[in-house]
Formats: sequence, structure tokens, C-alpha cells
Amino acid sequence: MRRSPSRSSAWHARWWRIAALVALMTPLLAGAGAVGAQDADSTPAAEAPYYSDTEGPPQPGGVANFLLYEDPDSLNPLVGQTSIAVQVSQAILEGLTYNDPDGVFQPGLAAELPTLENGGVSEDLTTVTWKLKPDVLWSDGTPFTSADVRHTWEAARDAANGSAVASEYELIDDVQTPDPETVVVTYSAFNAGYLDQFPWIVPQHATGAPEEMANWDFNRAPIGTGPFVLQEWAPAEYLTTVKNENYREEGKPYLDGINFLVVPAEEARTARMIQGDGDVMLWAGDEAEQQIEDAGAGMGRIAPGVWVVRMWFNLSNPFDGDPGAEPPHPILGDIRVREAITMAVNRERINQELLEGRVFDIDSPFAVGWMACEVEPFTYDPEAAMALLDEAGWRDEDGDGIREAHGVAGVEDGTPLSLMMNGYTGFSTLELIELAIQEDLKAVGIDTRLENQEFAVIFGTWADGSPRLLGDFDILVFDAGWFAEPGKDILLDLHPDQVPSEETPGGGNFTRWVREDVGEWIEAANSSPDIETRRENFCKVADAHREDIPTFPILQFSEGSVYSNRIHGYTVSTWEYATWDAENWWVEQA
Amino acid sequence: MLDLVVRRFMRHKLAVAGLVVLAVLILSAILAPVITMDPDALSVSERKQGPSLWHPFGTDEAGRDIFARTLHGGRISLTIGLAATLVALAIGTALGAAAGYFGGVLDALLMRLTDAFLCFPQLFVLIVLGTLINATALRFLQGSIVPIAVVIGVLSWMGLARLVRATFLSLKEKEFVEAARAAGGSNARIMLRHVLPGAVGPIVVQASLLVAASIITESGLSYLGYGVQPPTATWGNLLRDAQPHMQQLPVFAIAPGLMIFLTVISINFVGDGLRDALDPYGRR
Amino acid sequence: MAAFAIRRIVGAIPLLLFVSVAVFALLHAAPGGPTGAYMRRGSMNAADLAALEQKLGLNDPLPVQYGKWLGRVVQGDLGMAVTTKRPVAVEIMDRLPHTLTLMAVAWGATLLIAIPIGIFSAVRQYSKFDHAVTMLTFIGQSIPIFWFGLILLLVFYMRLENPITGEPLMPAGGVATMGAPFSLTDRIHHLLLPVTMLAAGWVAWYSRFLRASMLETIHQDYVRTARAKGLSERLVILRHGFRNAAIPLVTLMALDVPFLFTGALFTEVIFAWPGMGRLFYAAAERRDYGLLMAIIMITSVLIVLANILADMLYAWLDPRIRLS
Repeated sequence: MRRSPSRSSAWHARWWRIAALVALMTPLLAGAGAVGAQDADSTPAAEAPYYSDTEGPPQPGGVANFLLYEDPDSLNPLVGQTSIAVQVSQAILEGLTYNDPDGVFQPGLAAELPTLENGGVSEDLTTVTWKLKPDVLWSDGTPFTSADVRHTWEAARDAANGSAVASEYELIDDVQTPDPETVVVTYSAFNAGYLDQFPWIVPQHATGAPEEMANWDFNRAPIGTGPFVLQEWAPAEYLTTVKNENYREEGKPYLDGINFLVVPAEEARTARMIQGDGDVMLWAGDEAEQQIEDAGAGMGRIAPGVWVVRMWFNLSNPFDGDPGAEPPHPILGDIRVREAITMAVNRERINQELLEGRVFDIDSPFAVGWMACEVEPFTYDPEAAMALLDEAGWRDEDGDGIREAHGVAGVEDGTPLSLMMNGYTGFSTLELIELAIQEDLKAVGIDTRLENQEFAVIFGTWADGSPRLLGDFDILVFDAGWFAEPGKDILLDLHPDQVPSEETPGGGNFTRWVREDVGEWIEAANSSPDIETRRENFCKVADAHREDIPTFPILQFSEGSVYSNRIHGYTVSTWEYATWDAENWWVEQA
Repeated sequence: MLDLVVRRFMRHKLAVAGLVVLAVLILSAILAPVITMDPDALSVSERKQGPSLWHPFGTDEAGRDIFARTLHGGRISLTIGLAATLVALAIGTALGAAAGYFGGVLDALLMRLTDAFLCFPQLFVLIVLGTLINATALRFLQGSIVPIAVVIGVLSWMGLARLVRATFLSLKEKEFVEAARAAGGSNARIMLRHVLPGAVGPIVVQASLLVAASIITESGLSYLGYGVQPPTATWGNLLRDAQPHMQQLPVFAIAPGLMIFLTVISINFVGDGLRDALDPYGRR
Repeated sequence: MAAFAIRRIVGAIPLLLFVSVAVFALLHAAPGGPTGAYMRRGSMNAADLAALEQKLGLNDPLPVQYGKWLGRVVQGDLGMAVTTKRPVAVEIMDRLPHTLTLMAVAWGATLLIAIPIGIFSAVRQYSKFDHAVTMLTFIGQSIPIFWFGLILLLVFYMRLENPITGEPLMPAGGVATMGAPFSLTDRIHHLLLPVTMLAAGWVAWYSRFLRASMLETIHQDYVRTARAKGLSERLVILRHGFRNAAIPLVTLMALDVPFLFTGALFTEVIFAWPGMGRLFYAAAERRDYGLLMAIIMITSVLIVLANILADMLYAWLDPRIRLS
């Protein structure tokens, strides 16, 4: 691990705050694209970029302490979960598939992945046949069968049941169970994310009627096929789990149990790690990690994350009561101004000096995952930025250091080049990045006012009047990511029909970047099972995105946590949650 | 009279010391732009440095001078403390006096209003006020300290109102007030000339405590991320920024905490001295 | 006095209705909503989100939502918490015992320390004791509390250890050792640091308050008279001085009762205490309207009751005051 002195993912550094990400997206979280995605040849065989602990041999026994910063909300992923809750769920429940650390699909409860080649996917792409692993038991000893998969679908498909993932199942017409080890899923149309369809399976015998899902006892006392079984949940204090004696892999899990401790203060979690009372500190902040490493109590372990910090430019006129893409933004509507901003921001200073090289350089949101689209890199050139701004009619003639409009179309002469920049509160790394951007922009004569907003505001809904959706902002700065099967997210974020409005309140194209060809490429990518066709189309979108610069990527965060010296056998993956391989964990016995 | 108060106050050594410290703190806050460098200037080559001649308190993780930020933070924090107290003082004294002096239905109504205000969650009032300011013609106040000062003030006058009311309740029965009333003094005149002076002691003490409490409240709100927005330095923001560095950069962490501590304790001492000095039953 | 109590309680109902309308409006006026908790990313499944909002009734006009809320509450149903999908009452009952334990112990400890301190420093005004105590209490009052808590953690968990077992001297947090059978000493062990953190500020507050009212009373005529009659100083101070000085103190205490319910956010966060403060804060961040309304309104009821209680206590203890 040459990268190991660098420190782990920072975006979660906010202690005890809800970094609430939900199982609404878990089907997406889990999945790597289409049929070809699991083709081993398509992954570069270079040194693994993720950390994998290879100490051995494993010593069975012992208990690990996993430090969380907030209480889980529910342990049933189908009713919606925060990202903290999924950490626990993933040690207890399983799905038909999961992603390995390369983002490639692997069978979980399925015996193999259905493909065109093995006949699991029909020629017309609308029928998918799953073969299940035989002889799998739920932790209470009941056999796992195809009926459980059907039951999961029945519960998950309807929002009226309390499902938070209903729309993920809307393409399914029927789920049939010809025998206990076979599941036949019939689609009304091709689902590019079909491998992602069942990231979680819930037991028929230990839940209840599908329409009662919101009130299942299961939601707080789950029975699963995973390596651990919930023993006790003391709300806001801890969740204890013990080894699942019926786990399907012989001799695993190695641990006797995992205790999930809820410790809201980052300082207190750090203290526990240093004192040996913690084995995993989820998403530790940089300073915490430094302290733990300095104390010799543990190490930060990372993998490149999916989270990319970007500047999001509003291309439409803000604060005009109109969420539509027209008229253009008086300042940012001009591509020259956006281009100038990208040349004015010194990303190397941010990434290498301010954040000490703990993050990765990136030029496109499409550079992550199996697409890995290459685009023309952005360059730092403040002189060129100033020349471009002059050309665009923004010049500083009154000598106050801030440029004003001089003959800019649609802008009154003398209007200062002043923009609002919003991030979200409570995340100090983001603040540092904003400060550096602000200073860089000021150096070329662009004034920015920082105003960070509460999480619930910046990520609010249309009905909540979120300024992001209403189009009432100039520049947003925050981190976002697409997961292993990004088709649906890319559609929502960049398709010309997805500009948020009264009619499309859930649209994600809030920079209001409207290009019909982009919409066509996205649709093409999402209707093919062929990985190369998909990549080709997504990379066309990536080039168009680079050309028009609706967003400007600053950096890519890493994913990771701090692990104590006594815990081994784990592998860090950005495609799953930290406990995804908990059956392999073991601790050194004193 | 004033002479006597001053003489009594001067005898309270801690109060005098507090006054001196406070004066220094206020002066340093006023002079901050003159005696320090730009508090918001980044200097990535000088990140996380210990104290030096050039950076007396060292630098933070963005290479900003902590000394400059601490003094500039004082400007904001002290202003918020004072402004919030003035707001609370105005509301609390007026309502408390009216309730205590007039009694009856007015008293009952005002006291119920006081109860109602005790029930409002500070955090939400702050969030909503911030939003309203954004959405209205007051947008120029956005990101300023006005909302937070107003919110702290508007939500902290209740204790003062109770206190003033209680004082007025007991004083208005006193002989000298009855005498003034018999002499035909107007209500306003009696309240201002005869009753209020008797209540000045408790009010001043309470007000000084409110300044201190407001500064603490600001630091707490900023700590939670609901206070004045970064990069503006306030003592609360600085404390929050310093939190993860407690072990590595102790000066960074101690400076704002110490400033809050010194300010609050000085104000408390001054308040204590004032209480003694204004105490009509004081022995000395 | 019973008539007074009844009149005040009946009079409190419109007040509480007013508060509930105002708070309900306030919460909904704040931007963001409960579904925001499920929107970490910019893109989000519109259909599921809309279904969720529909299910929660968040798209109804506000007066309708308020009416539904009030209708339920009147029947004793506080509704459901949005994020945990559990009844609000269950959520609160999970936390309340822990909160009451912490707050009551801290409060009790505070009074035990603050009352003697307040009396002595008033009786011996400007003595060395008074100065020392004044200094200490002011320090306690002036330290930002979260700061103080972190220092306690640093010293008693990180630095100091039990010389016999070699374990940290104090636990890092929580209400008890996980998995261990109930033990009173263990509970007390876990209470020590959080109680210290809370009491540090409160002792200052209460003792200063008592000192001030003691000073006021011991200079009153009747105390002088008592002293002139040759009663022992001890008797004068306790019977005549403290008795009267305690009246405002009791009132103050009554007014503080509701805050035993709301918990102490910073203390709970630093010492991982599963209390009401954290519940409220998380609910606020998630805009969990049902939970927020329940906590705020229960607090409001307690505040109103505490006020009535305080007024009655005041009248009962001080015959000069008439209840009207």
C-alpha cells in the first residue's frame, strides 16, 4: 500500500450528523451494469487500488467493535435506510448479488449470474431466470427458497406497503417460482440494471404480509442469511450481533460477533480507537485518523471513492421565479465565464497542498467505475482566465479588484462580477475547498459570496422549495457520486427532460444543461445489455459535458475507515458498505 | 449617588480586574484590522504551524493566522453578545415592567406570552429567520450577524421580564410609590422615576449575565453549524474548527476557548461588582 | 389555591394551542422536509419520493396537516416518526428513562453542592471562601460546556487509569458496560463524567443565584431584628435568612423542571448518552415533524405546568404574595 500514508475519506468527517443516504439507492449502490460487466477481461489487471488485508491465517473467535456515529433508523432496507443502518444490515442480510471491490457483479444467494450466454437472460431481454444456491438456511434454520425472492418482490413493489424502493421494481410483470431453487422474473421492458434487482432478500416466514411491511417486527429484529445475527438493539447505544451458526460458508464467520456502538462525537470515537475499545471507526476524519496513527493504535485504509466534489454552475437565470432552462444565467450562461473559472481554480493546490494528497485528481464525473471515460484535462492558467473574462466583457475598470460588466449582453454596465457559492454546513473539508476556490477566483477578479446551507435545505425536495431544484443559485459546491450501475442516475442528472419543474419535481438536471443529443446517448446506453455500447455512449456524454462545462470536477474523495491493528481479513470497497465482507474478518487474540 | 456606586465598585477587586480585561478585549477587537493581518487570507505553505513571531497563535489548516482570526472573531462574538442583550433588555424590561406595574389582565396576558416564548425551539427560529431573510427584501442581511443576534435576543428576554415583573410587583406596594401616586404622578413617571431605579440593580446584573450567555449561545450554535457562516471568524466557529486539532495544535484550540472564557468571566465579575455597588442594602 | 390552579390550567389550553399552531407553522416554514434525509445525492428516484411524501401526507395544505395532527394528539396518538417508522411515543420512551436518570442526578448533585456554597458565600461575603468559590463558580459558568466535556474525556478516559486494573479511570460513555448484568456501581461509574460536565455550569448558576438572594434577605429588617433578639447566628441565617432566600430559588427550580425532559445535547453527544437531546437534534436535522412536534409540545406542557407550580409555590412560601 504505497498510498497508505494518505488519509481516508473525508466527506463523512461530520460527526453525529445524518449523512443520510438511503436504500432508495441501494439497488443502484450494489450494481455494476449490464451483462458484460462481470467479464473479467474488461477490468484492468493492474495493482488493486483498494486496500485488502492479507494477514493470516485467521484466528477464529473474538468480538470486534464497530463505531457508528448515529443510531440506525431501520434494519429493513426495503423501507428505506440511512447509510449508517446499511452498515449493520449488510452484516445480517444478503441479496442475490453483490459487487466485488472492482465494482464487478458477483453472485450472492444466486448460484450464478444470469446472462445471455448461459440462457439466464432471454433473447428478447425481458425474462431473467435466477438459479439459487442450494441448501442455504436462514439464521433461524429455515431453508431459503425461491418463495422468499417472490415475497421480497411482493413487499418491495408497492409504495403502499411502505416500500421505499417500489419504482425499482416497476418494470417487473411477474416473479414465478417453478421450483424452490429457480426464480423467473418477467419484465415489461429491458432493465439495464437487472443484475441489481435483488440486492436484499427478506424471509417470507419471519416477516409478515407484504402490505403490512411498514409494521413488521422484522424491521427492528431481522432474520437473515448473512454471517451475523442481531442479538440486542439498545436504541442510540449499541447493536450487538453474534455469529450465524447456519451461515452458508463452512468455518465462517471467524468472529463470534460484532458490536456496533453508537458514539456520536468524533473525538470520543477517536479516543476509543486509541484506547483499544474500537476496531473500526467508520469514515474517520483526517485529523482523527492522524491521531490514531500517531498513537500506533490503527491505520486508515482506503479505496478510491465514488464521491466527486464538483462546482455546479446554474446555466439559467436564478431568482426569476422560473425554474426553466431559459433565459440563460446573466453571468454563468456564457461558456467563456465557466471556462475562465476552470482555468482560475488551482486544483493542484487544493488537492496536493490543502488536502495533502489524500484525494484523487479527476476531470470528469464519468471517469469513475467501469466507464472510466477519459476527457480533455482542465488546466490551471489564471492569465488565460483573465484574458477570457476580458473578452467576455468583464473588466475591472474602477480598480476595486472586482470585474464589472462592460457591454455584456443582458447585463447592465457596471454590474460587478459577483456570484453566490453554496455548499452544505458542517463539513470542514468542503469549507476548505470553498475557501481556496474563493481565493483563486478573487485573484482573477471574480467575487464570490460563500453561504453554506443546511443539509436538509440543499438536498431538499421540490415541495420543500430547495433552491437547487428551483434554480435559485449561482454555484453549488458539493460531492456526489454515481454507483456501479449508474444508468438511471445519469439519466436523472443530465437528460434534457430532467430539468426540475412543477411537472418534473424529481428531475436532477439542476444545472439546466439542455442538449437533445445528450438525451439520446443516455437513452441508447440504457437500452443495451452490451457493456461496450453503453460505455461508448456514456463517454460521448462525458465529452459533451467537458465541452459545455455544466459542472467542474475538483477532486475525487477516497472511501475508507480507520481499522485497529488487531482486526484483519477486511477489504475496503467503495461499491459496498464496510461490513460487506464481515464473514472474513478476524481479530488477533490476546 | 453615582459617585458612591463607582467607589463601591472600585472596591470589588475582581470586578475591576474584569473591567480591565474586558476593556483590553474590546480594544483588541476594535483594533483588530489595524494590528493583525487579513483573517481570511489562505496560505497553504504555512498550514498548521505552531506559534511564531509572525503568527503568535500559529496557523490553522488553511494556513490562516489564528491570532488575526481570534481578534476578528472577537469583534463578531462581542457584537452579537451585546446586540442580543440589547434586544432582550428592551423587550424584557418593557414587558416585565408593564406586567408588574399594571397587573391584572395585562399581567396575565404578558406572562402567558412569556410562557409561549419559552416553548419555541431556538434552532428552528434561527433556521426560519435565515430563510425569511433570504426570501425577502432583507436579503442584504444574508450571512450577516443580524439574524443570529436577533434570534438570541428574542428568545432570551423571558427571564429578565420575570425578574423585572417581580421587582415591580414588590416595589409598587412600597410607601414611596404610594406617596408618589398620592402626589398625582403619572404612571409612566412613577415607573421611570420611582420604580425602575429600584430594579436597576437586578436588571444590570441580569443583562451582564445575558451578554455572557449570548456569547456562549453563539459559540454553541456556531459549533453546531447554525451560527454565523464561515469563513467569517467568530469564537464559536474557531472553536469548532479547532476541535479536531486539540492534541496537535493546542494553541489553536485554546485561543478561542480562552477568549470566550475570559470574556464571560470578566463580564460575570463586572456584573457581580455592579450588583454589589448598586445594592441599596450593601454594607460597604 | 385549588381554584387558582384550575383556572390557570384551563387558561393554559388556549396558550398551548397557540404555541402548537405557531410551532407547527415554524417547523414547516423551515426549508427542507423529512424526505431530505433520503436524498443524500443530487439524483433521486422521483416516483418513490413522491409516493413517500404522499404517504406521509406532506402534500396536504398545512391547515389540513395541522388538523390531522391535532385530531390524533387529542386522542392521545402522537403519530409516527418518519425515519424510524415507529410510534413517536415509543421513540421517546426509549430515551426518557436515560434522560431522566442523567438530568435528575445532575440536578440533585447541583443542589447539594450549590445550596451550602450559596449560603456560605453570602454569609461570609468578601471572605477568602467567597472569593475562591466565586472564582470557581465563575470558571464553571464561563467554560463552553462542550469544551469542558472533551477535556473531561481526555483526562479521565485517555490519560488517567485505574491503578489496580490498568483500565481507563472512567468509561468513555454510554449508560452501562455493554452486555454486563445490571450493577449500581457500574451505572454510577458511567454517570460521573456526564454529571460533572452538567453540574459544573449549573452549580455556578444556582449558587450565584442563592448568594444574591441570601445577601438581599440577610440585610432585611426582620433578620436584623432576629439577630437583635439574641438568636444564634446559625438559627438566624437558616430560619430567617435561608428560608426567605429559598423562595426565589424554589421558583427557579420549578421553572427548570421541564428541561429535565429535554435533556442536554452536548453532554449526550460527547458521552454517547442515549438521551432526549440527541433525539431532538436528529429529528430537527431530519425534519421529522411528528417527533419534533411531540417533543416540543410535551416540553411546552411541562413549561406551562412548571410555571403554574412556581407561582403556587411562591404564593405558598411567601404569604405576602396573593394569587390573583
